[in-house]
Amino acid sequence: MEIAYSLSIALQSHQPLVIATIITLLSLLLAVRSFFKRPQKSNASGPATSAGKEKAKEATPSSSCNCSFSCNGTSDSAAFLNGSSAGPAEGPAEEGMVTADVAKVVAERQSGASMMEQLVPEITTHALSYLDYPSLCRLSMTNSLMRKAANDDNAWKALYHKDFTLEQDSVTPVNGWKAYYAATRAIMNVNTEFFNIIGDRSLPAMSRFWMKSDYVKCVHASGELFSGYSAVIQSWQLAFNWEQGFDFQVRDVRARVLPDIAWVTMKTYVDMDIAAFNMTNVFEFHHGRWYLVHHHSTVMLADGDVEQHIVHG
Amino acid sequence: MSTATVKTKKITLRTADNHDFEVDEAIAMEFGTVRTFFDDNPDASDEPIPLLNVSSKCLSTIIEYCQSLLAFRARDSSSSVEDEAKAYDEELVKNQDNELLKEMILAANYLNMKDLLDMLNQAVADRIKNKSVEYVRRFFGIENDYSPEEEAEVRAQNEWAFEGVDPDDD
Repeated sequence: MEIAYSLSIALQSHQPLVIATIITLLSLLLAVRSFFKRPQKSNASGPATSAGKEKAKEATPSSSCNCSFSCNGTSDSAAFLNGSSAGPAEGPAEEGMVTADVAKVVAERQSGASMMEQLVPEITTHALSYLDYPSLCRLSMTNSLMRKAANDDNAWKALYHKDFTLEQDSVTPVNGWKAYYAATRAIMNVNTEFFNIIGDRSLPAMSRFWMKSDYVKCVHASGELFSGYSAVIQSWQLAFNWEQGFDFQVRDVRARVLPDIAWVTMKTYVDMDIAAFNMTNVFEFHHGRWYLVHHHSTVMLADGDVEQHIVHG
Repeated sequence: MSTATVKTKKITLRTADNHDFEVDEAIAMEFGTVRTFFDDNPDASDEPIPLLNVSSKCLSTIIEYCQSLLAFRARDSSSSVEDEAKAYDEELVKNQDNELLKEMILAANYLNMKDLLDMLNQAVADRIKNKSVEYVRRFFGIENDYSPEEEAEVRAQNEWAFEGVDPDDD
Protein backbone atom coordinates (compact mmCIF):
# COMPACT_ATOMS: atom_id res chain seq x y z
CA MET A 1 0.00 0.00 0.00
CA GLU A 2 2.84 2.33 0.75
CA ILE A 3 4.32 1.54 -2.57
CA ALA A 4 1.08 2.18 -4.32
CA TYR A 5 0.69 5.42 -2.40
CA SER A 6 4.17 6.64 -3.25
CA LEU A 7 3.69 5.55 -6.84
CA SER A 8 0.53 7.55 -7.18
CA ILE A 9 2.25 10.57 -5.65
CA ALA A 10 5.11 10.16 -8.06
CA LEU A 11 2.72 9.87 -10.97
CA GLN A 12 0.82 12.95 -9.95
CA SER A 13 3.91 15.07 -9.48
CA HIS A 14 5.43 13.96 -12.70
CA GLN A 15 2.21 13.99 -14.62
CA PRO A 16 3.49 16.01 -17.59
CA LEU A 17 6.48 13.71 -17.89
CA VAL A 18 4.29 10.64 -17.78
CA ILE A 19 1.98 11.98 -20.41
CA ALA A 20 4.92 12.87 -22.60
CA THR A 21 6.34 9.39 -22.24
CA ILE A 22 3.05 7.77 -23.15
CA ILE A 23 2.74 9.94 -26.22
CA THR A 24 6.28 9.15 -27.27
CA LEU A 25 5.67 5.43 -26.89
CA LEU A 26 2.46 5.64 -28.89
CA SER A 27 4.05 7.53 -31.72
CA LEU A 28 6.94 5.12 -31.74
CA LEU A 29 4.50 2.26 -32.03
CA LEU A 30 2.72 3.97 -34.91
CA ALA A 31 5.99 4.67 -36.64
CA VAL A 32 7.08 1.08 -36.35
CA ARG A 33 3.74 -0.11 -37.65
CA SER A 34 3.87 2.24 -40.61
CA PHE A 35 7.38 1.05 -41.43
CA PHE A 36 6.07 -2.46 -41.74
CA LYS A 37 3.10 -1.36 -43.80
CA ARG A 38 5.15 0.78 -46.16
CA PRO A 39 5.91 -1.75 -48.90
CA GLN A 40 2.22 -2.28 -49.63
CA LYS A 41 1.35 1.34 -49.02
CA SER A 42 3.81 2.63 -51.56
CA ASN A 43 2.21 0.49 -54.21
CA ALA A 44 -1.15 2.03 -53.57
CA SER A 45 -0.15 5.61 -52.99
CA GLY A 46 2.66 5.47 -55.49
CA PRO A 47 0.50 5.18 -58.56
CA ALA A 48 -1.96 7.73 -57.28
CA THR A 49 0.62 10.41 -56.72
CA SER A 50 2.91 9.42 -59.50
CA ALA A 51 -0.03 9.23 -61.85
CA GLY A 52 -0.80 12.81 -61.07
CA LYS A 53 2.72 14.06 -61.13
CA GLU A 54 3.93 11.78 -63.83
CA LYS A 55 1.39 13.34 -66.07
CA ALA A 56 3.14 16.50 -65.24
CA LYS A 57 6.40 15.14 -66.48
CA GLU A 58 5.74 12.43 -68.99
CA ALA A 59 3.22 11.13 -71.42
CA THR A 60 0.19 9.50 -69.94
CA PRO A 61 1.62 6.04 -70.62
CA SER A 62 3.73 6.13 -67.53
CA SER A 63 0.77 6.46 -65.23
CA SER A 64 -0.86 3.56 -66.97
CA CYS A 65 1.76 1.04 -66.01
CA ASN A 66 1.58 1.93 -62.39
CA CYS A 67 -2.16 2.34 -62.41
CA SER A 68 -2.88 -0.91 -64.14
CA PHE A 69 -0.92 -2.70 -61.51
CA SER A 70 -2.58 -0.99 -58.65
CA CYS A 71 -6.02 -0.94 -60.19
CA ASN A 72 -5.90 -4.67 -60.50
CA GLY A 73 -5.49 -4.80 -56.77
CA THR A 74 -2.64 -3.97 -54.51
CA SER A 75 -2.84 -7.48 -53.18
CA ASP A 76 -1.83 -8.79 -56.59
CA SER A 77 1.26 -6.65 -56.85
CA ALA A 78 2.18 -7.49 -53.29
CA ALA A 79 1.83 -11.15 -54.18
CA PHE A 80 4.02 -10.62 -57.21
CA LEU A 81 6.65 -8.94 -55.14
CA ASN A 82 6.60 -11.78 -52.69
CA GLY A 83 6.76 -14.20 -55.58
CA SER A 84 9.85 -12.51 -56.95
CA SER A 85 11.61 -12.52 -53.63
CA ALA A 86 10.95 -16.25 -53.43
CA GLY A 87 13.29 -16.52 -56.37
CA PRO A 88 12.93 -18.20 -59.74
CA ALA A 89 10.93 -21.40 -59.48
CA GLU A 90 9.93 -24.12 -61.90
CA GLY A 91 6.63 -25.10 -63.41
CA PRO A 92 4.45 -22.05 -64.01
CA ALA A 93 7.63 -20.20 -63.21
CA GLU A 94 8.05 -18.82 -66.73
CA GLU A 95 5.01 -16.64 -66.44
CA GLY A 96 5.55 -16.10 -62.77
CA MET A 97 9.10 -14.97 -63.37
CA VAL A 98 8.12 -12.59 -66.10
CA THR A 99 5.41 -11.02 -63.99
CA ALA A 100 7.74 -10.97 -61.03
CA ASP A 101 10.38 -9.28 -63.12
CA VAL A 102 7.89 -6.78 -64.43
CA ALA A 103 6.65 -6.18 -60.91
CA LYS A 104 10.19 -5.44 -59.86
CA VAL A 105 10.51 -3.11 -62.79
CA VAL A 106 7.30 -1.42 -61.81
CA ALA A 107 8.47 -1.07 -58.26
CA GLU A 108 11.69 0.45 -59.41
CA ARG A 109 9.94 2.57 -61.97
CA GLN A 110 7.73 3.99 -59.28
CA SER A 111 10.71 5.21 -57.35
CA GLY A 112 12.41 6.25 -60.57
CA ALA A 113 9.30 8.01 -61.72
CA SER A 114 9.07 10.23 -58.71
CA MET A 115 12.65 11.24 -59.34
CA MET A 116 12.01 11.88 -63.00
CA GLU A 117 8.91 13.89 -62.45
CA GLN A 118 11.01 16.41 -60.63
CA LEU A 119 13.53 16.58 -63.42
CA VAL A 120 11.49 16.93 -66.60
CA PRO A 121 8.17 18.71 -66.21
CA GLU A 122 8.40 20.00 -69.73
CA ILE A 123 7.99 16.50 -71.14
CA THR A 124 4.27 16.71 -70.42
CA THR A 125 3.74 19.73 -72.58
CA HIS A 126 5.79 18.05 -75.25
CA ALA A 127 3.80 14.84 -75.07
CA LEU A 128 0.45 16.61 -74.93
CA SER A 129 1.41 18.64 -77.97
CA TYR A 130 0.90 15.57 -80.10
CA LEU A 131 -2.79 15.45 -79.28
CA ASP A 132 -5.46 17.33 -81.17
CA TYR A 133 -7.98 19.37 -79.26
CA PRO A 134 -10.75 16.76 -79.05
CA SER A 135 -8.26 14.20 -77.72
CA LEU A 136 -6.98 16.67 -75.18
CA CYS A 137 -10.52 17.38 -74.05
CA ARG A 138 -11.34 13.72 -73.84
CA LEU A 139 -8.26 13.17 -71.76
CA SER A 140 -9.42 15.79 -69.31
CA MET A 141 -12.75 13.98 -69.03
CA THR A 142 -11.21 10.71 -67.95
CA ASN A 143 -10.16 11.49 -64.42
CA SER A 144 -9.55 14.43 -62.14
CA LEU A 145 -5.78 14.05 -62.23
CA MET A 146 -5.80 13.91 -66.02
CA ARG A 147 -7.99 16.94 -66.05
CA LYS A 148 -5.35 18.96 -64.27
CA ALA A 149 -2.72 17.80 -66.69
CA ALA A 150 -4.80 18.08 -69.84
CA ASN A 151 -5.94 21.58 -68.94
CA ASP A 152 -2.37 22.72 -68.72
CA ASP A 153 -2.18 26.29 -69.94
CA ASN A 154 1.03 25.87 -71.89
CA ALA A 155 -0.29 22.84 -73.72
CA TRP A 156 -3.30 24.80 -74.93
CA LYS A 157 -1.16 27.76 -75.85
CA ALA A 158 1.00 25.51 -77.98
CA LEU A 159 -2.09 23.99 -79.56
CA TYR A 160 -3.41 27.48 -80.28
CA HIS A 161 -0.22 28.39 -82.06
CA LYS A 162 -0.29 25.16 -83.98
CA ASP A 163 -3.93 25.32 -85.09
CA PHE A 164 -4.52 29.00 -85.52
CA THR A 165 -1.67 31.44 -85.58
CA LEU A 166 1.68 32.19 -84.11
CA GLU A 167 0.47 35.68 -83.40
CA GLN A 168 -0.72 36.72 -79.97
CA ASP A 169 2.19 35.05 -78.33
CA SER A 170 2.51 37.80 -75.77
CA VAL A 171 -1.19 37.81 -75.00
CA THR A 172 -2.35 36.49 -71.65
CA PRO A 173 -5.99 35.47 -71.97
CA VAL A 174 -8.08 36.32 -68.95
CA ASN A 175 -9.55 32.84 -68.58
CA GLY A 176 -6.53 30.88 -69.64
CA TRP A 177 -5.47 29.49 -72.97
CA LYS A 178 -7.91 26.61 -73.08
CA ALA A 179 -10.86 28.98 -72.87
CA TYR A 180 -9.21 31.22 -75.43
CA TYR A 181 -8.74 28.31 -77.75
CA ALA A 182 -12.37 27.33 -77.35
CA ALA A 183 -13.53 30.88 -78.02
CA THR A 184 -11.30 31.17 -81.08
CA ARG A 185 -12.57 27.86 -82.38
CA ALA A 186 -16.14 29.11 -81.94
CA ILE A 187 -15.45 32.35 -83.81
CA MET A 188 -13.73 30.49 -86.61
CA ASN A 189 -16.80 28.33 -86.99
CA VAL A 190 -19.07 31.37 -87.04
CA ASN A 191 -16.87 32.98 -89.65
CA THR A 192 -16.98 29.86 -91.78
CA GLU A 193 -20.74 29.95 -91.53
CA PHE A 194 -20.63 33.44 -93.03
CA PHE A 195 -19.04 32.07 -96.15
CA ASN A 196 -21.42 29.13 -96.24
CA ILE A 197 -24.29 31.58 -96.24
CA ILE A 198 -22.75 33.48 -99.11
CA GLY A 199 -22.18 30.26 -100.97
CA ASP A 200 -25.78 29.21 -100.42
CA ARG A 201 -26.95 32.71 -101.24
CA SER A 202 -29.49 32.41 -98.48
CA LEU A 203 -30.97 35.75 -97.58
CA PRO A 204 -32.90 34.45 -94.55
CA ALA A 205 -29.71 33.05 -93.11
CA MET A 206 -27.85 36.29 -93.76
CA SER A 207 -30.69 38.21 -92.10
CA ARG A 208 -30.29 36.10 -88.98
CA PHE A 209 -26.55 36.44 -89.05
CA TRP A 210 -26.39 40.20 -88.70
CA MET A 211 -27.22 42.16 -85.59
CA LYS A 212 -30.46 44.08 -85.88
CA SER A 213 -29.05 47.51 -85.06
CA ASP A 214 -28.64 50.84 -86.72
CA TYR A 215 -24.89 50.95 -86.22
CA VAL A 216 -24.02 47.84 -88.24
CA LYS A 217 -22.16 48.60 -91.42
CA CYS A 218 -21.10 46.72 -94.50
CA VAL A 219 -18.55 47.81 -97.07
CA HIS A 220 -18.62 45.60 -100.11
CA ALA A 221 -15.70 45.18 -102.45
CA SER A 222 -17.38 47.62 -104.81
CA GLY A 223 -16.52 50.33 -102.30
CA GLU A 224 -20.11 51.06 -101.34
CA LEU A 225 -20.90 51.53 -97.68
CA PHE A 226 -24.24 50.43 -96.27
CA SER A 227 -25.24 51.53 -92.83
CA GLY A 228 -27.98 50.13 -90.62
CA TYR A 229 -29.49 46.68 -90.59
CA SER A 230 -32.09 47.11 -93.37
CA ALA A 231 -29.66 48.72 -95.80
CA VAL A 232 -27.08 46.06 -95.13
CA ILE A 233 -29.47 43.18 -95.70
CA GLN A 234 -30.75 44.83 -98.85
CA SER A 235 -27.23 45.11 -100.15
CA TRP A 236 -26.79 41.41 -99.67
CA GLN A 237 -30.01 40.72 -101.45
CA LEU A 238 -28.61 42.55 -104.45
CA ALA A 239 -25.36 40.66 -104.19
CA PHE A 240 -27.16 37.32 -104.05
CA ASN A 241 -29.24 38.18 -107.10
CA TRP A 242 -26.20 37.94 -109.28
CA GLU A 243 -26.45 34.83 -111.35
CA GLN A 244 -22.96 33.55 -110.87
CA GLY A 245 -22.26 31.44 -107.92
CA PHE A 246 -19.03 32.15 -106.16
CA ASP A 247 -16.36 29.62 -105.81
CA PHE A 248 -14.02 30.98 -103.21
CA GLN A 249 -11.24 29.98 -100.94
CA VAL A 250 -10.60 31.62 -97.62
CA ARG A 251 -7.08 31.70 -96.28
CA ASP A 252 -5.00 33.34 -93.57
CA VAL A 253 -7.89 33.62 -91.17
CA ARG A 254 -6.81 35.45 -88.03
CA ALA A 255 -9.11 36.02 -85.12
CA ARG A 256 -8.83 38.10 -82.00
CA VAL A 257 -11.43 37.22 -79.42
CA LEU A 258 -12.42 39.17 -76.35
CA PRO A 259 -15.32 38.30 -74.08
CA ASP A 260 -17.94 40.33 -75.96
CA ILE A 261 -16.28 41.34 -79.18
CA ALA A 262 -14.17 39.63 -81.79
CA TRP A 263 -12.73 40.49 -85.14
CA VAL A 264 -11.53 38.28 -87.92
CA THR A 265 -9.36 39.16 -90.89
CA MET A 266 -9.02 36.92 -93.90
CA LYS A 267 -8.06 36.74 -97.51
CA THR A 268 -10.69 35.49 -99.92
CA TYR A 269 -9.80 34.18 -103.34
CA VAL A 270 -12.57 33.88 -105.88
CA ASP A 271 -12.54 31.61 -108.88
CA MET A 272 -9.05 30.33 -108.53
CA ASP A 273 -7.21 33.50 -107.63
CA ILE A 274 -8.75 35.57 -110.40
CA ALA A 275 -10.06 37.99 -107.83
CA ALA A 276 -8.75 38.35 -104.31
CA PHE A 277 -10.10 40.33 -101.39
CA ASN A 278 -8.96 41.37 -97.98
CA MET A 279 -11.88 41.08 -95.60
CA THR A 280 -12.59 42.03 -92.04
CA ASN A 281 -15.50 40.85 -89.94
CA VAL A 282 -16.38 42.21 -86.53
CA PHE A 283 -18.69 40.27 -84.23
CA GLU A 284 -20.48 41.07 -81.00
CA PHE A 285 -21.60 38.52 -78.48
CA HIS A 286 -25.21 38.81 -77.33
CA HIS A 287 -27.74 36.37 -75.91
CA GLY A 288 -25.35 33.48 -76.13
CA ARG A 289 -24.30 33.84 -79.75
CA TRP A 290 -22.09 35.89 -82.01
CA TYR A 291 -23.64 38.45 -84.34
CA LEU A 292 -21.94 40.11 -87.28
CA VAL A 293 -21.83 43.88 -86.84
CA HIS A 294 -19.29 44.96 -89.42
CA HIS A 295 -18.02 43.60 -92.69
CA HIS A 296 -15.42 45.27 -94.87
CA SER A 297 -14.09 43.92 -98.12
CA THR A 298 -11.32 45.40 -100.25
CA VAL A 299 -9.89 44.24 -103.51
CA MET A 300 -6.43 42.88 -103.01
CA LEU A 301 -3.92 44.36 -105.40
CA ALA A 302 -2.52 41.76 -107.75
CA ASP A 303 1.10 42.48 -107.10
CA GLY A 304 0.50 43.73 -103.59
CA ASP A 305 2.06 47.03 -104.44
CA VAL A 306 0.37 49.43 -102.06
CA GLU A 307 2.74 52.35 -102.53
CA GLN A 308 2.14 52.48 -106.26
CA HIS A 309 -1.60 52.61 -105.71
CA ILE A 310 -1.32 55.54 -103.35
CA VAL A 311 0.88 57.47 -105.81
CA HIS A 312 -1.59 56.91 -108.61
CA GLY A 313 -4.65 57.58 -106.43
CA MET B 1 35.66 -3.11 -92.56
CA SER B 2 37.62 -6.34 -92.39
CA THR B 3 38.41 -6.88 -88.76
CA ALA B 4 35.23 -5.28 -87.54
CA THR B 5 35.13 -7.35 -84.38
CA VAL B 6 38.34 -5.83 -83.11
CA LYS B 7 37.48 -2.25 -83.96
CA THR B 8 33.85 -2.13 -82.84
CA LYS B 9 33.69 -1.69 -79.15
CA LYS B 10 30.94 -3.51 -77.40
CA ILE B 11 29.10 -1.99 -74.52
CA THR B 12 27.04 -3.97 -72.08
CA LEU B 13 23.73 -2.63 -70.93
CA ARG B 14 21.99 -4.15 -67.98
CA THR B 15 18.25 -3.84 -67.83
CA ALA B 16 16.07 -3.51 -64.78
CA ASP B 17 15.40 -7.25 -64.79
CA ASN B 18 19.10 -8.01 -64.82
CA HIS B 19 19.45 -9.06 -68.42
CA ASP B 20 22.63 -7.98 -70.13
CA PHE B 21 22.57 -6.73 -73.66
CA GLU B 22 25.76 -6.34 -75.60
CA VAL B 23 25.56 -3.68 -78.26
CA ASP B 24 27.89 -1.91 -80.59
CA GLU B 25 29.20 1.36 -79.33
CA ALA B 26 27.47 3.15 -82.18
CA ILE B 27 24.12 1.91 -81.04
CA ALA B 28 24.80 2.63 -77.40
CA MET B 29 25.71 6.17 -78.29
CA GLU B 30 22.18 6.65 -79.65
CA PHE B 31 21.02 6.52 -76.08
CA GLY B 32 21.46 10.00 -74.76
CA THR B 33 21.78 8.77 -71.23
CA VAL B 34 24.58 6.38 -72.11
CA ARG B 35 26.34 9.00 -74.14
CA THR B 36 26.29 11.43 -71.25
CA PHE B 37 27.50 8.73 -68.96
CA PHE B 38 30.50 8.15 -71.19
CA ASP B 39 31.21 11.80 -71.55
CA ASP B 40 31.54 11.97 -67.81
CA ASN B 41 33.33 8.66 -67.30
CA PRO B 42 35.41 7.79 -70.34
CA ASP B 43 37.12 4.94 -68.53
CA ALA B 44 34.09 3.06 -67.40
CA SER B 45 33.45 1.36 -70.71
CA ASP B 46 34.05 -2.17 -69.51
CA GLU B 47 31.45 -2.38 -66.83
CA PRO B 48 27.86 -3.06 -67.69
CA ILE B 49 25.79 0.07 -67.58
CA PRO B 50 22.67 -0.27 -65.48
CA LEU B 51 19.46 0.97 -67.04
CA LEU B 52 17.20 0.89 -64.07
CA ASN B 53 14.03 1.95 -65.77
CA VAL B 54 14.14 -0.21 -68.87
CA SER B 55 12.88 -3.76 -69.15
CA SER B 56 14.59 -6.24 -71.43
CA LYS B 57 11.62 -6.49 -73.79
CA CYS B 58 11.71 -2.73 -74.25
CA LEU B 59 15.42 -2.60 -74.67
CA SER B 60 15.49 -5.30 -77.30
CA THR B 61 12.86 -3.48 -79.33
CA ILE B 62 14.73 -0.22 -78.92
CA ILE B 63 17.99 -1.81 -79.98
CA GLU B 64 16.25 -3.19 -83.05
CA TYR B 65 15.01 0.31 -83.79
CA CYS B 66 18.48 1.78 -83.42
CA GLN B 67 20.04 -0.82 -85.64
CA SER B 68 17.65 -0.08 -88.44
CA LEU B 69 18.00 3.65 -87.80
CA LEU B 70 21.74 3.46 -88.23
CA ALA B 71 21.30 1.30 -91.30
CA PHE B 72 18.96 3.86 -92.85
CA ARG B 73 21.32 6.67 -92.04
CA ALA B 74 24.23 4.85 -93.60
CA ARG B 75 22.36 4.88 -96.86
CA ASP B 76 21.83 8.17 -98.61
CA SER B 77 19.27 10.58 -97.26
CA SER B 78 16.98 10.55 -100.26
CA SER B 79 13.25 10.80 -99.83
CA SER B 80 12.68 7.17 -100.76
CA VAL B 81 14.92 6.08 -97.94
CA GLU B 82 13.03 8.41 -95.63
CA ASP B 83 9.77 6.86 -96.70
CA GLU B 84 11.15 3.44 -96.05
CA ALA B 85 12.30 4.53 -92.63
CA LYS B 86 8.87 5.93 -91.89
CA ALA B 87 7.22 2.71 -93.03
CA TYR B 88 9.55 0.76 -90.80
CA ASP B 89 8.63 2.96 -87.85
CA GLU B 90 4.96 2.42 -88.50
CA GLU B 91 5.41 -1.32 -88.68
CA LEU B 92 7.32 -1.28 -85.45
CA VAL B 93 4.62 0.44 -83.48
CA LYS B 94 1.67 -1.12 -85.24
CA ASN B 95 2.23 -4.51 -83.73
CA GLN B 96 2.96 -3.33 -80.25
CA ASP B 97 0.21 -3.56 -77.75
CA ASN B 98 -0.61 -0.50 -75.72
CA GLU B 99 1.32 -1.69 -72.68
CA LEU B 100 4.55 -2.09 -74.52
CA LEU B 101 4.06 1.22 -76.26
CA LYS B 102 3.76 2.94 -72.93
CA GLU B 103 6.79 1.15 -71.54
CA MET B 104 8.76 2.17 -74.57
CA ILE B 105 7.87 5.79 -74.14
CA LEU B 106 9.08 5.67 -70.58
CA ALA B 107 12.25 3.95 -71.71
CA ALA B 108 12.85 6.36 -74.56
CA ASN B 109 12.40 9.24 -72.18
CA TYR B 110 14.74 7.69 -69.64
CA LEU B 111 17.31 6.96 -72.30
CA ASN B 112 16.94 10.46 -73.69
CA MET B 113 16.23 9.46 -77.28
CA LYS B 114 14.38 12.34 -78.85
CA ASP B 115 13.51 10.84 -82.23
CA LEU B 116 12.14 7.64 -80.81
CA LEU B 117 10.19 9.59 -78.23
CA ASP B 118 8.69 11.75 -80.96
CA MET B 119 7.68 8.77 -82.99
CA LEU B 120 6.17 6.92 -80.06
CA ASN B 121 4.28 9.96 -78.80
CA GLN B 122 2.79 10.44 -82.22
CA ALA B 123 1.81 6.78 -82.36
CA VAL B 124 0.03 6.97 -79.03
CA ALA B 125 -1.70 10.20 -80.06
CA ASP B 126 -2.91 8.51 -83.23
CA ARG B 127 -4.19 5.56 -81.28
CA ILE B 128 -6.44 7.59 -79.03
CA LYS B 129 -7.57 9.95 -81.74
CA ASN B 130 -11.31 9.88 -82.34
CA LYS B 131 -11.87 7.32 -79.67
CA SER B 132 -14.28 7.59 -76.79
CA VAL B 133 -13.41 8.76 -73.31
CA GLU B 134 -13.90 5.23 -72.04
CA TYR B 135 -11.41 3.92 -74.57
CA VAL B 136 -8.85 6.48 -73.45
CA ARG B 137 -9.43 5.42 -69.86
CA ARG B 138 -8.88 1.79 -70.72
CA PHE B 139 -5.87 2.57 -72.82
CA PHE B 140 -4.06 4.33 -70.01
CA GLY B 141 -5.55 2.30 -67.21
CA ILE B 142 -7.08 5.38 -65.68
CA GLU B 143 -9.75 5.01 -63.08
CA ASN B 144 -12.66 7.36 -63.29
CA ASP B 145 -12.83 9.28 -60.04
CA TYR B 146 -15.51 11.76 -60.99
CA SER B 147 -18.77 11.85 -59.14
CA PRO B 148 -21.79 11.92 -61.48
CA GLU B 149 -22.19 15.66 -60.95
CA GLU B 150 -18.53 16.33 -61.62
CA GLU B 151 -18.65 14.17 -64.69
CA ALA B 152 -21.62 16.08 -66.05
CA GLU B 153 -19.85 19.34 -65.29
CA VAL B 154 -16.70 18.28 -67.08
CA ARG B 155 -18.68 17.01 -70.01
CA ALA B 156 -20.48 20.35 -70.30
CA GLN B 157 -17.23 22.26 -70.07
CA ASN B 158 -15.71 20.30 -72.90
CA GLU B 159 -18.76 20.16 -75.10
CA TRP B 160 -17.43 22.82 -77.46
CA ALA B 161 -14.80 20.41 -78.70
CA PHE B 162 -17.34 17.88 -79.88
CA GLU B 163 -19.81 20.03 -81.72
CA GLY B 164 -20.78 18.44 -84.97
CA VAL B 165 -18.86 15.29 -84.11
CA ASP B 166 -20.48 11.89 -83.92
CA PRO B 167 -21.11 10.65 -80.40
CA ASP B 168 -18.58 8.44 -78.71
CA ASP B 169 -17.76 5.32 -80.56
CA ASP B 170 -15.14 2.76 -79.97
